[in-house]
Amino acid sequence: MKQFYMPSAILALMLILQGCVSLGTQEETLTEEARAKNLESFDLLWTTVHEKVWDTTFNDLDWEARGTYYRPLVAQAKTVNESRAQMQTMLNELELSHLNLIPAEVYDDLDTKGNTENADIGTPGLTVRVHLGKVMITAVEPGSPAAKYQLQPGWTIEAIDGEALTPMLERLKTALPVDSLAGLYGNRAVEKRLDGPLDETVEILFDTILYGVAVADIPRQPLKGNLVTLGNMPPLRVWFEHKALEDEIGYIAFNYFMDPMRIMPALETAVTEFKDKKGIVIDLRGNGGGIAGVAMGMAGWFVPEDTGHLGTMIFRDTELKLQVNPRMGAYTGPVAILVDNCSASCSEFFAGGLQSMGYAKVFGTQTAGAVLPASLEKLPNGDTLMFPIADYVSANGDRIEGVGIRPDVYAPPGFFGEMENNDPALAAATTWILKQPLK
Amino acid sequence: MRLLKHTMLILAMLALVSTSAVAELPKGEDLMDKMAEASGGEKMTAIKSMKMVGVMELTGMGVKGDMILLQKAPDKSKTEIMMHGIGTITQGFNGEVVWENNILQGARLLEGKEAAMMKLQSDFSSNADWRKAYNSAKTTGEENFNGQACYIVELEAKFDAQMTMLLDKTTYLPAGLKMIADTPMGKVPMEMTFEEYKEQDGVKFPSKMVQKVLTQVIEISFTEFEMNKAIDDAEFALPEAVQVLVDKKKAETAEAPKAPKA
Repeated sequence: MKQFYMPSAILALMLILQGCVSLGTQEETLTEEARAKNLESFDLLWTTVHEKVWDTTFNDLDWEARGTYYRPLVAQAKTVNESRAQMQTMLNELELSHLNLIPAEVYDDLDTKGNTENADIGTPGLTVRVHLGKVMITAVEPGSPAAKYQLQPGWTIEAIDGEALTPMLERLKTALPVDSLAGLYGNRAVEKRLDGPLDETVEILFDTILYGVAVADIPRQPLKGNLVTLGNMPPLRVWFEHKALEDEIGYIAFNYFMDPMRIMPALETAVTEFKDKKGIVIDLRGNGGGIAGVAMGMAGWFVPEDTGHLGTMIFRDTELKLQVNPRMGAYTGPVAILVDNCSASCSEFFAGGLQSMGYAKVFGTQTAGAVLPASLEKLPNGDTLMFPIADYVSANGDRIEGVGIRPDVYAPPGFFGEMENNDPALAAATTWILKQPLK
Repeated sequence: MRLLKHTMLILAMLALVSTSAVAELPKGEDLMDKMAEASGGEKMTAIKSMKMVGVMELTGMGVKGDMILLQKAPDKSKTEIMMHGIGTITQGFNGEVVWENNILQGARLLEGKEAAMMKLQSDFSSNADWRKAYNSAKTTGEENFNGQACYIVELEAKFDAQMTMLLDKTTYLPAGLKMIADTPMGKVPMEMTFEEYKEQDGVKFPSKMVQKVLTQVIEISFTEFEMNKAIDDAEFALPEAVQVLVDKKKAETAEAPKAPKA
């Protein structure tokens, strides 16, 4: 009989390493039918974790007992959100990243917009990061509404549309299963508040540090990137950019290891254009991860020889190396990778892998430590369970989950007036590149 | 003493029962011969080319793809999978080179057991004669697999790999296969089920396959079978990116210093 074996490339596609989404906001009272579906979903969720999550110690919990405790709470939930909250609380007890309930309406929202450009949502054009308990503006997009209102990197945002941010960040930190995720989740919560209807302004109360506080109603511009869907994963806006910096240095940035049909050819173009540059900066700050296979494939453009892997995934029944396939025409000059506390998942093992293989130096701040590969299970109530299927250790044996990648050069963002440069991590990276011997 | 004798007797009887149970199992070789016969027997030798078109889905992730398998005697094959939202993954054997080219990791030449597996998939001569692919077949028990009563046959492949085939006790058609696959990432346990057999030119093929791997389930359904229709050799030509690797390897081999003669 003829047999057919799946190409191994499919394996790499199965490993999703992407940051998590927040719960939805449905408050409708549950019908009896919906309640039954939720219980069915709870049972499948519990069983999936029991049978497939890599951590067979269940964080030293009695998983049977946790199921027995939470099932009646889900049965008694009066709203969709209450039901989801009980399930998510049970999942959080395992203290694992990538163990999340993704609400069905994440997909429903997309469907109602015709699965095309989400034209009615916009952003003021700010990049923000939670740093030292404050929400700091780290970049202002040239030409954006925020730039026209002359907002500056290094200022902090105190409130958005009248909501003070500090209490929200504190609440969030308390609820998070892993401390290292505070920056990642805090940032997402702030971005969610900054983004909104294109035809409405967002009221931002900011602290200029040197000149006191001020408030401004900032218009929004369309979100950048292409809206990408992949199977049961939540829709994502994916963008990729490359440009030449001063001093013959190439710069590459992208926000997800997704949409390979667009970003793999774009990376090849960038590497080809930059082949004679003194160095390349890969900016993974804010990169939320994606598909392991994409990260492994991208690493191949910076690894000229068959010398290793980006780390090891430890499953219940096997271990897989994240092997890099060197590309013909791979870049051989100095590579600097920028990371911060919003660099998660694939971006962590991409940066940490190239760092430990000796092909890149890492600049910025410690990453999110949310690096577990996950899979998806569609639940009967329409929600989707994202669950981690393996543990990850870096190529040099370090466990990254809950810890993050430590940069070679620590270069945090600075408050306004505190730094000579608006972008200390980029400045440190370019300085390092220029000190490297020419090829 | 009497108790000891009694116990010994029971143990001896159990051993006899056990021995006779093993003896009742058909020989692995016989079962594999029946499998070959059930699959089409000599009619399989008449197959000189094959095209299969199907769809696949990573069911949990909801990621789908279209696939085309081409095979041509004596040993050429090509598998092309177009994953929606990802891109194309192609794997092939042109009789000399086993290769893969995919949008994520580019081109690479397959080696070792991974290449041997692809060659096995490509080899037409083993269709009707399983002995060309496997050194031995041994029946080790029975199992209810995927709702079917099956014999468990342990196979030792020619390329030093172990596989467990589940043969339906009634039809003698394969119901499943368990193996540890060698991949560049490491060894991966896999379990496949073969379902919904269809007959074409006297040969039976599973039109549905389900693979369980890394907590994921991959469903493959073949919707079109074409036998013995002309397939141009150009279909199996190496892609340019693969040819570059072949040329590079040849150049490296030519440059490598030869071992001095003793």
